[in-house]
Amino acid sequence: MVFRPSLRWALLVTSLAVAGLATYLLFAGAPPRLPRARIPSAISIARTTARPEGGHLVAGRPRLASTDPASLHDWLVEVTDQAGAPVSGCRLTFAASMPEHGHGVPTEPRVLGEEGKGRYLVGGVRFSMPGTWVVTVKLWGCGAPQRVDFDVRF
Amino acid sequence: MLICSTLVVNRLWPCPFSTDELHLISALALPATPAPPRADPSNRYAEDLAAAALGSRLFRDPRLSANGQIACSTCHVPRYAFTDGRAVAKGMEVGRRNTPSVVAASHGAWFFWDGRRDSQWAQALVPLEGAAEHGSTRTEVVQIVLTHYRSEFEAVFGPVPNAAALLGIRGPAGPLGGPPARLAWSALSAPDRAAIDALFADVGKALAAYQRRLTFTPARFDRYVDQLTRGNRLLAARLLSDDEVAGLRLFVGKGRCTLCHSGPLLTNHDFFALGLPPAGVEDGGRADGFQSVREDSFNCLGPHSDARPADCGELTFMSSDRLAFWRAFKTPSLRNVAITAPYMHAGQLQTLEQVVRHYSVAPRPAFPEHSDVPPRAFSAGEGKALVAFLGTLTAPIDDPMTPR
Repeated sequence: MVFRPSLRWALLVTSLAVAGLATYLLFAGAPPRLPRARIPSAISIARTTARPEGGHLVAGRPRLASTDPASLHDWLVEVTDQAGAPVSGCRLTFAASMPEHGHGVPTEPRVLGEEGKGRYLVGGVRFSMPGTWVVTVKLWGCGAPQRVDFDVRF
Repeated sequence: MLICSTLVVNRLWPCPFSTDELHLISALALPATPAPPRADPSNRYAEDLAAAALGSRLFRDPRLSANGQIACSTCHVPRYAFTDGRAVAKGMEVGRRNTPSVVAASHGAWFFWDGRRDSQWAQALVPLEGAAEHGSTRTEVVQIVLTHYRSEFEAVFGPVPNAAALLGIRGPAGPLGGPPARLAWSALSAPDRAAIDALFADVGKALAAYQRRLTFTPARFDRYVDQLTRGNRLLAARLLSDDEVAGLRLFVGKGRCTLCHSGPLLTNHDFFALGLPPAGVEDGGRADGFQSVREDSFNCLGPHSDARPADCGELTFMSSDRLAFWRAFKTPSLRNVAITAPYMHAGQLQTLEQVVRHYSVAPRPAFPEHSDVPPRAFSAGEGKALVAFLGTLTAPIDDPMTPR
């Protein structure tokens, strides 16, 4: 059977159109490549205990913004009084646990010293898995003893 | 036309996962350029090629044992992904723990099921002197290395000026051997003991330099994720069965397996209690590992470590909460898990089906034991799918230092 030229042209044009669409889907239409390495974890920190009457304001966060919560890192705990002035000379402990699983961190974080007035450096923090952790800072020796809990999610 | 249609179908084929699931899944795949092992500042020869070549030969040398028949590779068998297929290891005697793989162990901070060593080189020394493993002593190990590998050893670690004197020491001598070996060790001069300890540490550093170079190669799962993330859905669908895909969805979803089996090595390298049935002798796991690593003279803070104390954070800040880590054991990698039966720290579970059933029930053991894992309540079909998925993680080990 012999095709008439007009039909051949129609077939050729159709083939080219399909090939073009396929090329588009193959290259332009491909979804962006997903990150293959560990997904950087954003860490969110929220204080969950209210400040007691006359108590200090206690804030805590990893020392470096780029910290991977799953690797060993330091925290800064900042203590200020009601007037917003930094409070020196506090004693404090730092502990973390994961209520959903009933376990703590694999390390024993401890205060390394006061890095600037009212800024306490805590070393040896490492969260062993993503999820919701409760960080508990207990404070004494600089006013009434105080306990502050933070929800830490990453 | 056929090719074009296939290309179109390849793109339009439905993706079995949501974007969130895809993110979780892609974090488990081996990257094109795998991450290097964790830096080991305590071993300045960790990346030394000649040290790794020497380590590869030592790894396979059965002369480093009391009966001349046990090498590292006797239990860490390459064809079983560097495990041995036994419930518990068998060297000179039957041990009490399942042989863990050494592949990619260097990505974690702790070694052994209980983390009783804090570097791969300190870990490598323990079996050499273990009565149930190589049953040798550090003096004999050093003598064998100086006799058979002296030029290679000195090329890496420098000359051993007192080699002749050390080779003249008679009989087994080491602080961890049997009574005669311990007596012989205490009879040695302090400088000789120090020299042997330093050379013994170097043997460990060579073994670690070799083991750091063992890597996982991409498995069917990795090829699947690669195709999926490129948008080649039809090509991806040809790589995993429906059951395997369902298992993967459970792994990142309902099972929440990625809480511990995370990242491309499918482990977080940490210690958790699973409420497993005891395996004969009492085994406190990580709770007992704390004291052992703290007292180890080859630890990061010890005299044979090349690290500064500031580099030893994991040891410095290590927990010592025995109750919290009672019967906790290290999360193993799941790469090659289908060929590393039996499972768990003492090989208590024979099959992956039994492992999945354990997590499904997750028994709550009596105090002082506890379990860090809530029950997952998998159905029979879900269990089957999970096991099917775990089978997609099998791939050869790349061992660049060992001639084929």
